Amino acid sequence: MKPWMRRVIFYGGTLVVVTIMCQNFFREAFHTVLGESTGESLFKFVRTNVEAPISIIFIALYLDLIMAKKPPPGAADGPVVFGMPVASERDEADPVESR
Amino acid sequence: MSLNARRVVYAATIVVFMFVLGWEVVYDGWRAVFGDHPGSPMEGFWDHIPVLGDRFGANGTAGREVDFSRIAATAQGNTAEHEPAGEAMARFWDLQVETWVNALLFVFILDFVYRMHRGADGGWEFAPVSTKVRAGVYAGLVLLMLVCSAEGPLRNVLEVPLPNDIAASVARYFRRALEGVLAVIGLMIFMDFVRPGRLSEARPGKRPSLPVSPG
Repeated sequence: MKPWMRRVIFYGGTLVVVTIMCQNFFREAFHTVLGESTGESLFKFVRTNVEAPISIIFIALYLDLIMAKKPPPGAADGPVVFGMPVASERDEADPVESR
Repeated sequence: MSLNARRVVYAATIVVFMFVLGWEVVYDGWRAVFGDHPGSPMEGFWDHIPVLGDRFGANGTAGREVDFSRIAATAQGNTAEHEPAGEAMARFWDLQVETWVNALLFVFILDFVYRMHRGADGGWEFAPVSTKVRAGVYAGLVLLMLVCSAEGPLRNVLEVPLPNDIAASVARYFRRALEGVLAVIGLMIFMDFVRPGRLSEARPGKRPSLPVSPG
């Protein structure tokens, strides 16, 4: 599966979870399965924690957009290909100094 | 854009969310978008949108209501189970305090404490700082947890330099952030005590630590 497809499924799926958690049919499903009292209690508990999937999205965005090309500590903050820093003009000028 | 520039943009975005989403101006923006008030530029707009119109527009006899809201009662005294869509959306995003705190703390702990980075095989590797520094981070988080949980004393302290209403608002915000701080402490415990084997700095030539499927 292509990386962009994985991202669509992950981010889209998490957004769907967020949306479903806030919908009335989700509450009614809880009522149907668990009864009026227990279902309402559990539904409110779940929906109160809707911050969890939203946190996941924002943490994943950091990993995806900021950390995705972060080189190992000590390496130059330069161009990176497949997780490894590649030579830049600065490296070629003085590779020891820039590393 | 450099790595540091991207970090700054991310942090600034989250901090802006923290400040802005509670403003009455933003609330009014949501109300305008969802046409909560008569005369709003968007009033009646959602009635013409299939599916969404049922949620945000003419919602039967109940009016423009949506069930995005939280459990607490609204300022107008309504039970928040059903309230106007714009009001509900504004309140929903205003209440994401734990999200902003959780994301901001955890990503920078991953970045600067565990020094997570891309490895030679394209996977994630870690090069954590020393145990002493990590113990300091734990201590800082525990201190932050105590500050967040002490809403009353924090409000009293903040009332000295700040107006009382702002001091109360800030203290309340810290109190709501408590879950985020607790979650980050738990994640650090997981990183340190459950998966310590993966938290060693990768040596040159070391085989990838993750299993690689043949072919």
